Amino acid sequence: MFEWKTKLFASAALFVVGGVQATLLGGCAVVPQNHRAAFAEPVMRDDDALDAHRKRKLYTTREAAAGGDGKTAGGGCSCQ
Amino acid sequence: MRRRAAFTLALVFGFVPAAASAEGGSFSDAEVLGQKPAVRVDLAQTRVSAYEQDGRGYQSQAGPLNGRGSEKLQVLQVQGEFVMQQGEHLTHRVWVPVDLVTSASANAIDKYYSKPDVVSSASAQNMAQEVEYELSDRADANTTWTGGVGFHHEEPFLSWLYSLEYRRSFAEDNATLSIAANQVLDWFDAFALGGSRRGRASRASSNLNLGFSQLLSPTTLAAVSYGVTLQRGELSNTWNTVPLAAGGRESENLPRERVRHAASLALQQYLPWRGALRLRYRFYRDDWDVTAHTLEAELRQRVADWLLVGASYRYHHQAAVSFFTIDAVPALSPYATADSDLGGLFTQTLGGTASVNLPTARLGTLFLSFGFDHYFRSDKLRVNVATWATGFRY
Repeated sequence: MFEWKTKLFASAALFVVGGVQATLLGGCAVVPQNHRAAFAEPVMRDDDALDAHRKRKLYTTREAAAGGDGKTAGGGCSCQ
Repeated sequence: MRRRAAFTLALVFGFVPAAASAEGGSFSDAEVLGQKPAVRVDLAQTRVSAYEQDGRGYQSQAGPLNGRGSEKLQVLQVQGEFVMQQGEHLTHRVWVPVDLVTSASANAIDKYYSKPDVVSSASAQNMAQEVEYELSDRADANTTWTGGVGFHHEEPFLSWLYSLEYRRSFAEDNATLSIAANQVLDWFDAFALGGSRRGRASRASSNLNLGFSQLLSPTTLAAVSYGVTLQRGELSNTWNTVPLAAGGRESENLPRERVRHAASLALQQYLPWRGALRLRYRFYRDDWDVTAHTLEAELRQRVADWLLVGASYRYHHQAAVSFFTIDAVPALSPYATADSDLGGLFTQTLGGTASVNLPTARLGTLFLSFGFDHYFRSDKLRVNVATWATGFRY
């Protein structure tokens, strides 16, 4: 029962540690402006504030542990 | 100094003359590249989302006296967003969401001060409306300040929101640091067990967020963030109830303070076949003994120049708050909740989206977007969400 959860959280921990290391090491590298075409592709854009809001509200009103990602975790609505 | 004063005035009054953003003593972009319009619209869009929820929870009175009551509800959410550039430095954003809710519990109140009927009025409607305004000032090539104010209103509830964000980019925009503070003040009616009003209650939520993003390669972006939220005041909605071990029910009673921590790591990778993969892990911990882990994955694919599709999956696991109970003994613990949202559970969300972008001759790019999410929990609660957006990006 707990084996798959343990594996899941161990994988998550590895993901976090690896990601932080990659982020810190990546801080040494500079990607020139003319090599950033991929970030202009529509699939890489993450600027739909209305979609982000509806997802945030779906979770913050139904889970005890949602929120806190750039906004307050709770408050602002009687549904929370 | 002059631009800082203009930013302050604009945050208060919503608008300043374009000339206020002009710097003296140096050439502006407009002087070098040619005159741009003083005011231009960047984005105008609307999004309509329909939620249909079914499930049962011990906090609801719409059911057996000591059993799980209905959590069935429907929500129609309409949002509008308008983004406008003023001069070279200022960006205005106005956002108006309206939620129309049929609720199992929220209307268990003495509407118009008549005698309440907490079960038969459970399908009544409640409307929530909000307006938020943000002003961003690009102070220099690397620094942006954003201030925001908002107001939220619904039947028994008023709320005021304030925010301030500082964002700075480094190393030729390879890295970005953001620091944001949010303050929410809630003022609402409190209700007794039978649904009658027992005066006003309030709560304050103060939040600080730190974020850092970094380009790892020409196709990879990583971001880490941490947020802490301090909540004080009446943290219950006041109409939730708890079954008692001796039979009957009592009002939910929560501690009057809560400190909540959330940290996340996200990776975004461009795929050579015009696709993108996003992965995100989030860890949460608070002083009500809730620990949670959330994993999210999203795959996007550009099928044609005008068509983009996506699929997403989210897994969330949380532990219950330390005072969660479905057979409370008030003499043993001052705090008790049976709110299923505060219980130990895991949830999953499956989602899909399709977006169409159509360039027009005079109105920029017309975009249409459709999405569907299926959210389901280990306690059998489920939510289906259909969402539709349309607008113009200039």
